[in-house]
Amino acid sequence: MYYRMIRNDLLRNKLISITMMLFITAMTTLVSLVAILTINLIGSIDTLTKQAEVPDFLQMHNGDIDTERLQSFAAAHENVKDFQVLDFLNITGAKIQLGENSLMDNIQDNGFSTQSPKFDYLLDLDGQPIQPTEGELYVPIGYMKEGIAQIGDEAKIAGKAFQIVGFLRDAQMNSPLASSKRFLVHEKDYQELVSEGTLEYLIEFQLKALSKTNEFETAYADAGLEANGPTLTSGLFKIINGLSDGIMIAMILLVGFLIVIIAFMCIRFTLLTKIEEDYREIGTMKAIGLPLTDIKKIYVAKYALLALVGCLIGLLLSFTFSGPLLENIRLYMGESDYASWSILLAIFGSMVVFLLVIGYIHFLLRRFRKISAASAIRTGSPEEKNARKNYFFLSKNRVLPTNVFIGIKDVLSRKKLYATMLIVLLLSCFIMVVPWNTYQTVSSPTFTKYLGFGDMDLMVSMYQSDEHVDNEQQVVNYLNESESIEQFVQITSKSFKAKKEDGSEEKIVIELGDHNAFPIEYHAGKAPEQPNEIALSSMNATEFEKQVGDTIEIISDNGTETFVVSGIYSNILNGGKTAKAISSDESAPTMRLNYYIKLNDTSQIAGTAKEMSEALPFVKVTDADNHKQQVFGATIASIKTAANVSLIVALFITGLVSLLFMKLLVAKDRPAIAMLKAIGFTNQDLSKQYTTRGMFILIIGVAGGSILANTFGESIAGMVMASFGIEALTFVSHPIIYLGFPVLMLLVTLLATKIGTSQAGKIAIAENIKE
Amino acid sequence: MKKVINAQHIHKTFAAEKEKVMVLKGVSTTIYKGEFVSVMGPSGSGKSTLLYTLSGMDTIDSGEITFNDQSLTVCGETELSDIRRQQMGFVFQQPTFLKNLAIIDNIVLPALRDNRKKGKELANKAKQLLERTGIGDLAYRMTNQVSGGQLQRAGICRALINEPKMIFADEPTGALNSKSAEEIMKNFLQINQEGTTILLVTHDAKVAAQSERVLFMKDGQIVDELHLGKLSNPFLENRTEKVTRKMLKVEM
Ligand SMILES: Nc1ncnc2c1ncn2[C@@H]1O[C@H](COP(=O)(O)OP(=O)(O)OP(=O)(O)O)[C@@H](O)[C@H]1O
Ligand SMILES: [Mg+2]
Repeated sequence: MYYRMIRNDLLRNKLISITMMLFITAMTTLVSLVAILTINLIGSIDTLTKQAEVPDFLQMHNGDIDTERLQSFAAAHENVKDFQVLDFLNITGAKIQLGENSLMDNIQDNGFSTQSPKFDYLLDLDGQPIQPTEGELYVPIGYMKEGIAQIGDEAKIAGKAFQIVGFLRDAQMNSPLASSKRFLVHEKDYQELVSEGTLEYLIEFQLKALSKTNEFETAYADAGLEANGPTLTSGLFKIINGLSDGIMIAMILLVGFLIVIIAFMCIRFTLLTKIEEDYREIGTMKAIGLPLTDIKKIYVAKYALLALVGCLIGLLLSFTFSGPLLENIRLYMGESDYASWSILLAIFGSMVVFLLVIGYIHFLLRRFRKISAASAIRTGSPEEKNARKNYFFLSKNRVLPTNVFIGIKDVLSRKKLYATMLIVLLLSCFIMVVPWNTYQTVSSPTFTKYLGFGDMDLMVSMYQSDEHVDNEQQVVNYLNESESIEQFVQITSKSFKAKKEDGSEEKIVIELGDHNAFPIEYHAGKAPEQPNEIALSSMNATEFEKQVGDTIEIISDNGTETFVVSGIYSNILNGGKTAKAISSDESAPTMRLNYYIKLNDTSQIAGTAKEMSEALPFVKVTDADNHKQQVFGATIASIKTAANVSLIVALFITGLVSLLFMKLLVAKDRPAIAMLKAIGFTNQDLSKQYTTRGMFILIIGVAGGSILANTFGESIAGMVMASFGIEALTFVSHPIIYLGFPVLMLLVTLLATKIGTSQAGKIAIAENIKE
Repeated sequence: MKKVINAQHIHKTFAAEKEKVMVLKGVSTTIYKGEFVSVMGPSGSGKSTLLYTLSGMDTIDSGEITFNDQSLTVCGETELSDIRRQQMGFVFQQPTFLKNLAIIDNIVLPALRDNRKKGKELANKAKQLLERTGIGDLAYRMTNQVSGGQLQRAGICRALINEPKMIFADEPTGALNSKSAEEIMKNFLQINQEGTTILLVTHDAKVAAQSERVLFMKDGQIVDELHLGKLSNPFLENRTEKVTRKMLKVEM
């Protein structure tokens, strides 16, 4: 009997049942997707790190190297497990031809190397260290993704012919966010190439105690060893590898979370409406002494069925979707060791969703107990109380058309009822706006200020070398004489040590120069202006436990000097640990010279960059915009994907919920509709009334959603970004987001209202009026 | 005399569960201007159905209905709505109102739709109607703050706001106690005296006895009719007795 009742009920309310199921499906899909993606991302990163045996500490070095001194340092230091120096033969992109494509415009430092003997292996796509034979070339996986290289293509490196036989995974430099890329060749080919490039060194250590990495870093700096280049640690490799996919997962998580809220609200709304409809029946059953558990069973069984089907479909969908979404992770990092775990977790997540739904329904059905048999039979379901003071009288209204007035009045006097739809529209708007604003922000030119460098057009940089002084003069002269340059500023990176709170000393790289010329974003405080002021990157601020206004002791050859922390900024490049000050200390060794340049005419960036690299062959010229594009392109693209998905999801939810809501509303209002028709209101009148309700809620929802997105949403996006080292994010928006999206929602709501209330016209007056 | 309603051979079937039920089996009747006609008959005989088809709220399968010489069977939904709003008034057994509007707003509702600018005028008119039906002081109450009888009188006021040519009432006193029912009937009689035609369905012989003509229905047909004439000399006992006797005869 139960089976028949449930089946009849499901069939009678087809649309509502399907909608409920869709929500449960969406909820399960997202929960399970997040589980699968997260586990696989973490798993793949771990697997790759393990297979490649990534160094725990890496110092890049450009210039002369004393391997013996390094060797003895490694042997003497208790924390060193293993040590090696790898060659990285940097060859300019113009000399690299892969098939049809030249890497001329590529901003990466492209380098060639041979397979490492001990650790830090370059892996093939099966996770095995590659041993190339002569004439074979293995290309970084990123170039396959970008479609620059293909297996079987002929490659020409500095005139020497190679055959591209495969792609390699590089646990250090895989990500587009890493600034260098390694190609792999045979030892013999390598020797032939050496004369064509500049040799850089990767000084690599594996440590016994990872927790003491910072101490090791300081010890290394203290020893005054080779340090002409960025210093990186294994934790950072993981972050860099996970960033793009991590942001995508974070966004799915956000959307998923909101969908869960929306789904539960819809379950609540549908169930309460249904109970209201059945109010009298429930009262009667109670009155004639039938146990309520029986009725409860029917309700629970019905939703359990919907939830079960929804969860199963959702689980299957998540498996289907996870394929393409995992593609990037699989390609760059390979299969995860935890793949089977992720499936288990996804199933577990779906089960949790299922149990939550059932639990929630039990919770909602508590109100059965409160139904008094007597009052249910006599008066039917309790309406919202209307005894409140009435301020708006239709007969006194001169402004609004009658139908509009009735619509608005209805919303205002049944606030509790409409709250569900309002909140859903509000959240939909939120889901739409936040990812798009994030995308706009990240893709806007001003975003670089969060990354630790200002809104510049070009950056010229050079590492310290013996001809340093001559070269420096040459650059300054060139920049001073160039017609096309509006402004430039010289920033010198020097290495110091600083005292931590516990008294120990640690290495700190300070960028010295005028930091107001190309301002960056300080999420606390401001740029250093006085000679005794210093700004710290957020990673350094955490490292040294400093806040704005604190003092920090900087140790140089001239002794100890006390600086006041003037500001804290975000920086995720160059290892993330930097500092800025204006004083120039001549004694400390210069690591790197940067010139930030603004041009008169931004359309000339590419041309000027080319001229400059020809005139100053020893410098590296970076086109800031292009640089950002190549470094963050993949991340920005994945944010855009997430934003588009969110947009579609939000519109879908808007439509679905409006439809569901209007349908339930019409069912509920049936007697009133019949009455209005009886006294001569036309179907168009009714349509106008319902449209007004929909629009009225939509307007409030969109306004509220936009405000929420710009306050709370900004904080959430900021928090996500902060976990990647970008702090104090402020949204940069686009008019389309606040004008176009509401119009889209409006259209969807209108359409849903039209469809949802189409039944109102068909309500037979006679049947619904005569008792 | 001018015909307000002229119905010829109307048939109406409902599709219940599996088979079709014929509820009106060729009903013909004419109602003249200024008449007060009531309909009686056993439960399920088709009284309500007749009322709703005559007013154009429900469709018929065959036959012909004219209202003020206008054929309702050829009218579209919107035209029917216009006719109902402008020329007809309805009083239901359970007074149905928009719960979130005050009583006065519910009364002006059908009129305001066409004359939005005349809110003040209409409100005054509604107040007059409320005074006349004896609930003038309840104008600004919400519908759940008054009694059933008071609400039914508000329903009559709403039916009158557009000065309809005819009023349809389906058991308007059915849910009321005898005191309230009496007052409602007084209202109807007064309206009728002022020239409005009334068609009223009732189970109560005392109510039917106050009208000038009673139609008796049985199994979807009008089987008998009783002419009582205007209620000028109040031999009410006698009239009620006549109606009761006829009713018993019909039901046999
Ligand atoms: N929507 C419907 N579907 C099927 N049958 C219906 C429908 N409405 C009414 N009927 C049937 O039509 C017949 C006449 O109904 P109607 O409501 O006109 O009777 P009535 O004379 O007004 O009865 P009462 O005095 O109880 O109000 C009844 O047998 C009823 O079962
Ligand atoms: Mg009836």
